[in-house]
Amino acid sequence: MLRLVIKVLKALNSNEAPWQISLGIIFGSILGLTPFLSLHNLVIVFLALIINVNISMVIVSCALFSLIAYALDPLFHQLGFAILTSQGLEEFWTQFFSCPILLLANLNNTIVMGSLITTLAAAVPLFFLFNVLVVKYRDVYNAFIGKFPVLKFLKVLDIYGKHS
Amino acid sequence: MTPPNKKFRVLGISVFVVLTLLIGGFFVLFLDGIIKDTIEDRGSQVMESQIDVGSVSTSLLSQSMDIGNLQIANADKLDENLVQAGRIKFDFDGNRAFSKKVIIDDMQLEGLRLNQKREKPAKAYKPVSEKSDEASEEKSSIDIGMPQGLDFKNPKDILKNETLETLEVVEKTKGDLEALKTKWQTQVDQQLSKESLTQIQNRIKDLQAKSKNLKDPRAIQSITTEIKALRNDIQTRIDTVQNFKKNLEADIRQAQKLASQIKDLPKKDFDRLRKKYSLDLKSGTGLISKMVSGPLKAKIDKAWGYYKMISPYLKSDSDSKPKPEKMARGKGQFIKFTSPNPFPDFLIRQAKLSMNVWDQDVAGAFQGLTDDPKVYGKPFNLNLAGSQNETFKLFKLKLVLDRTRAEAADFLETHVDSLKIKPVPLGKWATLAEGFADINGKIDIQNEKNIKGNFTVKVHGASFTQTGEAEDEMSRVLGNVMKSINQFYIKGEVNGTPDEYSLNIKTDLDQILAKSVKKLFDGKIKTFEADLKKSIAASTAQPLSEANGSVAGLMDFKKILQTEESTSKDLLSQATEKALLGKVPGADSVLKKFKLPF
Repeated sequence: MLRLVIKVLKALNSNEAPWQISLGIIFGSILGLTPFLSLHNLVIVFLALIINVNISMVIVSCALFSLIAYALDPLFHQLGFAILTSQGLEEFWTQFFSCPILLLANLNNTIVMGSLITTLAAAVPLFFLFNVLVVKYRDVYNAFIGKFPVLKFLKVLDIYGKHS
Repeated sequence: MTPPNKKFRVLGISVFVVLTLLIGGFFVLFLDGIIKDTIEDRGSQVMESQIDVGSVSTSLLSQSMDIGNLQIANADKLDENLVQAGRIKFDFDGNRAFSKKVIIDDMQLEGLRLNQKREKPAKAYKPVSEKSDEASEEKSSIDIGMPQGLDFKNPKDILKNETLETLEVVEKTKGDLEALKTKWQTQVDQQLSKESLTQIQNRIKDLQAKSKNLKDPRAIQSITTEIKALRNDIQTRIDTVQNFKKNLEADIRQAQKLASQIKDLPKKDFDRLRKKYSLDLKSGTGLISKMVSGPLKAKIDKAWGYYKMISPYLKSDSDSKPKPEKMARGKGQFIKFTSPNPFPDFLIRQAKLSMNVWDQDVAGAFQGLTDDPKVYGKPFNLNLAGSQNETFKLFKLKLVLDRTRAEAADFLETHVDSLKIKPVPLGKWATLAEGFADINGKIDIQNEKNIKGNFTVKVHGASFTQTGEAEDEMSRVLGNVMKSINQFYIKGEVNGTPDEYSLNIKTDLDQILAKSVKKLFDGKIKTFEADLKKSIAASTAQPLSEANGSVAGLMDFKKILQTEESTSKDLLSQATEKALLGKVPGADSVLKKFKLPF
């Protein structure tokens, strides 16, 4: 647990751009909230590995969102059922699922569809929100460190690095 | 490491590839074990009975699978396998697998066996129904012994255990008649009492006394009024008596009707008990029919069990819309969509199989085993055939499960030539030691529930042996008769639903046996029936005579009322003015003194 907190703090206080941290959280939330052994998560892992996002934030975010995923399953099921059985979308889904790979991705499963739609819909606003929060955090943090020379000294020593 | 400001890291692709290869490699290496465990664990849960797989060998390159020694345990009999297969080998369509469809073009099923003993009892996945076991054992037993009536029970013992309808009805009738008698006794006592009669007689006497030496016109007028009142009272009594007579006639008619009804009851009782305890030779003994129907019902029930096991997998409602289900935690619900080119999720186009029937190998094939016959458009078709072996000359079986139309239409056809019969004990009197059976049968099942079928079994070259256990005369006679028979037939008809069907069996053996039994038992039957008649008559004679006595008691009231009527009429004739006032001296002259005013 301590290691996780240190990883988060280290990531927040690193030189990485805020988008790297925000996107890491978004990727982690998709991995954590949607059923893990799904084909779309292979794509997310692939993206997380090739895009220069903060991997620690992906792991931490995935772990935290996994904890609440089961509690949200009934909601995801209802949303997924409503979307998949909506009369207006019937023709669209029929065409959509005529592609075998999409069936293999279990996108016709109510929980997979419900959770994926939810996380993708939330991804864009959350991305910008986390960006703003990271910037804000860093401003507050730097101002706080600036007030105390001892902390500034410890930062120089990179105490987090030794614990991580 | 990739510098933090770069948007992509090339190293990530390598990591991804390595990770993917590792995971893929793991699955390829352990695929056989994963499939084996999945079939055993998930399959057992779905089928609710233990499934064991000996070995699984998968080749992704050639898209084929080889399953060895598959065993599906009987959920209701854990020491038995419902189905077991030595080897199942098939090729699957890899492209269709991407659409989550299991399509098998060609399959080979070897060493298929039904109802084989297991080496170790299976694990129970659902409560074992002990009742069904007992019932099927009971049904399959053909040792039914002698039918009731052949040992001729003592009539007195029969009457001890049986309730005679005569006695029950007589008791009730007696009660009704007694109630009528009491009613009439009360009515007569209350409304036609002797006291009231004596009072009338006394009043007449009083009037006679008063009318002597009567001269006063006022007294005469008073007596005249009294006479009128007296006549009125007597007339009322007569009316009551006549009314009672009318009602009594109706009650007597009702009582006589009851009495005549109970007269026929001893005969009714006799007919019922004779039918139950005597031997009905007109319809034959029915022994063979009874013996055959039990084991045959057990076979039909077992076949129905297999049918029910297959049926859910051949669903006929492919057009049904998805319905909201209770979601399994973390699993959700898969929604099916119509495809521009619809195709079943599961299909075995063709399979060749070898199966063990009556310890002999038969070969066959089936086509079109699918979860969605309507989409596939062809019915499931199974053909099995075998010939020229130690057990039979020819065996043919054809099963068609047609779910392609609105209503399911399935049928099973069998044809067996010269099936070698294993020794079959027939009760305690004979054993069918050997013989050959030609079997022909067809069963149609409409809409998965209405069964209609018929079959014929012609046995030739039969040889019966008499069982040493036969102790009674009947068994010895039947045993001897059977020894002379070398061919017979059994015909059967099945009608109804799987839960409630009728099975009518006819056989010429029953007629042959009935003739023999008739010769032996004709005299005994007559004696038994005469004794039974006597016993019933003895038991019912007294209650019947008591009931008749009650009717006679009711007739007594008729006499009483007739006497009462004549007495009252006699009194009425005595109580006239002429009779009473005529004796008064000068009465006429007194009356003559009155002059009318006109």
